[in-house]
Amino acid sequence: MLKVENISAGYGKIEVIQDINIEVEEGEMVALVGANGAGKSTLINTVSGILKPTKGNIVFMGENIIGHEPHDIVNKGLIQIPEGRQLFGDMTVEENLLMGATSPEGKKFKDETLEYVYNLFPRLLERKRQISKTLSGGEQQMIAVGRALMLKPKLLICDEISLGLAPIVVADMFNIISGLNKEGLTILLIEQNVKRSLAISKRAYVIENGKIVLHGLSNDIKDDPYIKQAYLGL
Amino acid sequence: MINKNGIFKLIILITVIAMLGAGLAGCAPKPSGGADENNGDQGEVSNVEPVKIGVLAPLTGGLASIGEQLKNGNELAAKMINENGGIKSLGGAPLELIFLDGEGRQEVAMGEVERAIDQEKVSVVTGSFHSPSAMGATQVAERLKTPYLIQVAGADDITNRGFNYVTRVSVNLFKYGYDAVSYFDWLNKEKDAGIKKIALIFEDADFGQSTAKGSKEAIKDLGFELALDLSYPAASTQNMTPYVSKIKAANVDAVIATSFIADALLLADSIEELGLDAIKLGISGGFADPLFAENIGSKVESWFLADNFNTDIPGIEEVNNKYSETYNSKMGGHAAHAYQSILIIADAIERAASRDRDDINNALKETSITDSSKIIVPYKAIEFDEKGQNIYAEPVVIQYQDGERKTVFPSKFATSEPKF
Amino acid sequence: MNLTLFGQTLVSGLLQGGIYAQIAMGLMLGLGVLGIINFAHGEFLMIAMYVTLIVFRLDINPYLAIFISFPLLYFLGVILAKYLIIPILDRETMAQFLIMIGLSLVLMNLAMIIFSPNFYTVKAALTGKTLKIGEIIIGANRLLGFAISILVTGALLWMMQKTELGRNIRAVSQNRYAASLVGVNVKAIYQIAFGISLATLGISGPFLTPIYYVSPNIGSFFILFAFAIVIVGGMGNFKGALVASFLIGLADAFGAVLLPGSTGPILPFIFLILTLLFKPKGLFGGSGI
Ligand SMILES: Nc1ncnc2c1ncn2[C@@H]1O[C@H](COP(=O)(O)OP(=O)(O)OP(=O)(O)O)[C@@H](O)[C@H]1O
Ligand SMILES: [Mg+2]
Repeated sequence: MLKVENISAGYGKIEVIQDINIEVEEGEMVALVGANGAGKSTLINTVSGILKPTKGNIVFMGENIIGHEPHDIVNKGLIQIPEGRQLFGDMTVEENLLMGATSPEGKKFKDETLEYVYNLFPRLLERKRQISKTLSGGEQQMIAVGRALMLKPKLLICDEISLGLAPIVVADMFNIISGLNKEGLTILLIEQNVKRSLAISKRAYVIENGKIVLHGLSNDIKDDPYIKQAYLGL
Repeated sequence: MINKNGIFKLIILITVIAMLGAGLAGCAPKPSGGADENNGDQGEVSNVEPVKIGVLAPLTGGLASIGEQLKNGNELAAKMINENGGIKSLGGAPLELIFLDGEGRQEVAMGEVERAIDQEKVSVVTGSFHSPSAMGATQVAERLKTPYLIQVAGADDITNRGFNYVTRVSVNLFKYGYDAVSYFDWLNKEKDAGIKKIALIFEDADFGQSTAKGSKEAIKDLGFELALDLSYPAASTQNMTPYVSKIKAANVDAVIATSFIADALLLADSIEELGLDAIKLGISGGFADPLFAENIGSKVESWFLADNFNTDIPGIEEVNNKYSETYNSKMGGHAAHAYQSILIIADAIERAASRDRDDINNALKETSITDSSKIIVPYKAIEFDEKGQNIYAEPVVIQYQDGERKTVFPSKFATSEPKF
Repeated sequence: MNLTLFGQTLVSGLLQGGIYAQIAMGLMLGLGVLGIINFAHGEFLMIAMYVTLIVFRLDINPYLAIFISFPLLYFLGVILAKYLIIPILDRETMAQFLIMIGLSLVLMNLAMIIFSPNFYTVKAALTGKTLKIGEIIIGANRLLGFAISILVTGALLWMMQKTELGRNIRAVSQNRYAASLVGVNVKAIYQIAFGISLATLGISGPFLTPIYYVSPNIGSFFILFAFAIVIVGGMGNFKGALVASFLIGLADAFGAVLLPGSTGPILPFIFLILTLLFKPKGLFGGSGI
């Protein structure tokens, strides 16, 4: 479904990621793990069309999307839940969700997806008229997930959705993501929480200093001695 | 995402356009039939070295419409003199006008005058309408010992600072304010106008403050009652209605207003709107601007306008026609004073028979023009007092009657009776 | 101060405030969405006013100029956003300032070249007509200008709150990164928003021209008050700006009547300074639109 080939990208003259190759198959849940500053967000912002790569190709559902505008890529069904939630802070909860229904696909299924999202996150239904910036961190993350679902994603990229949440909420979030994958949604999970993401994903990539240093089945990576030492604190 | 090079080019482009725009604006707004821009339009090219005269006027900026009239008047006079053989005592030397765009900004005016004296080597400077610019420019001229003949800037202080190189043709502001009240006194005595309570409304810069000072003194001297004393900042006042409401509430018999053109128009509109019933007199500035009458239409007939000029003054038809032919617009007071000033300067240079600044200054101060064929402004004569002020400069009161701009006061220039 | 004078001043201040409102609204839209200070905002009003003048000179009802000035200013906004403003959005503020001030000067000078520095007035059907409520007199032109202003402001508020376009504009203004990630075409929204910002002036122009006059520097007349209103009302707060417009209009009118000498116009600015001192985010708080 998504094929990232030899992508290099960065900010201004500084190249942050180099020669990245990643593949996600339909229906898969793939994890991309790495430390702070490794270049994870840079990579997926390149995939989303926010950053222009200096070289390489990105093929989504058979089409090369290099050079496409971000809204174009969204309309193709490649949806990112950005790091740090990035809500429309002065809008209500429901307005934030409806902002997801601005893509053609989102518009078509607006009412049923909204119902689906409220079922998934009943707390959002209770607070639908509240200004989003006044909600708790966990609730805000629910809005971010809900808003992305409103866009009817074909591929959902989650950038550190567990960041800054209480452990119990983190567990909930991982359950929900896992559930979405089981319902058939393809997911690329970006995480610093290596343990949990390896536990729920099928395959994984490890990124360090802008380069993929390891990839394979999550189960194998979990047992890799280097990973055990560097990421799992074992 | 951004092409820095592209933006840099854009900035250059904008700057160039802005400069081009500013440059063109300085010379562009010339109605059809006008002469071209080079010095040829100032008359014959002679092989005698010309006498250079710096002419300061706000050619761009908010006062540019007046600047244009000034420019025309200066230009026309120089052209007539040059066509008639230039300065005879200097072997027929033509006058060469160097126009200095003061932009209606003091610092720009000062810079331009300094440049004209230092670099262009002008023998004399004249012009300016904007009083703050005139104040600054005369200071520069005084320092550089160059004669400066003020055309219309009215600020009292221009001639009150004991300067040796400054003279002024036109009426000063105090005199305007004073004579506006004298006119009411005359109306009471001759026409039974019954004016007692007077309201003053004036823009709060030096222009309005100075006329108001004159009016207040006259109100005291002549026994009127000062019922209201209102001033406003011209640049930031868009709503004149509150002021007019206040005047209306005070039940005055007459109003004296001192405004620039924009505020004069707004004031006249508000007066009309609220139906203020009082005798109205507007002093010079915006009221004297032909645009005032043009824009407010027939209601202008309810106004008395104090000005330093009117086209019905006997003996000026020739210049007047020339002006309308050349510039396709009517000659107003600014243009007439500009024209007159060049005549005065030419007369002084003729007598001085010299290009030397001090010689010209001495001749200027001894000016005595009494031949009415050489005077196109409504003054009996032109002579300067020890401060440099033209002794005979007095305002005329004008009223539009059946679409004609009639002089109604003082009697010696009047062509019609006042109607109120 | 007697009752009539009080009433007259009140009415005059409210009418004036209404007129300021529509100018401030458009300014705020540009500021809130693109984050650019449009120093040329007043000059775009000037363009609408010159369009009105031309229509009037062709012996056509000047109010009908709206059918030209409205679309003209909208497209001018879209084109300027595309080729001038979007390319400089990521530049330092100083560079943006210079470019916008440059634009203002260019437009002013162009007007001077094309139309001369002269002042022109436009007479409309309502010119000189007045409405009397007791002793209080209201100029019909002003009343119409006021009514149009309230309509424009109301329509803008409705559009921003109730339509999908409005929601997208607010989204871009609040978080342009997130907006692009939910499929909003950010550049298109910038163009449309700036187009609307100028189009409001295209509506105002034909109704303000008969009250004022046209000259190349008429824009600078209004712009100071428009900025004051944006500050007092709170950055990005449309309702705040509406209230601030009335407050500033009233302060202007009562200042003229109550304060001695020419100190009247100080009142709106005292108001501004006090707001900045005690409520630096504006009387009603700022928001991202
Ligand atoms: N807008 C930017 N401009 C310049 N450099 C940036 C920018 N954003 C990120 N970087 C740099 O790029 C590198 C990679 O950052 P990135 O955000 O991709 O890391 P990350 O793997 O997502 O880290 P984290 O887990 O902390 O989110 C870092 O060194 C960072 O400082
Ligand atoms: Mg990151």
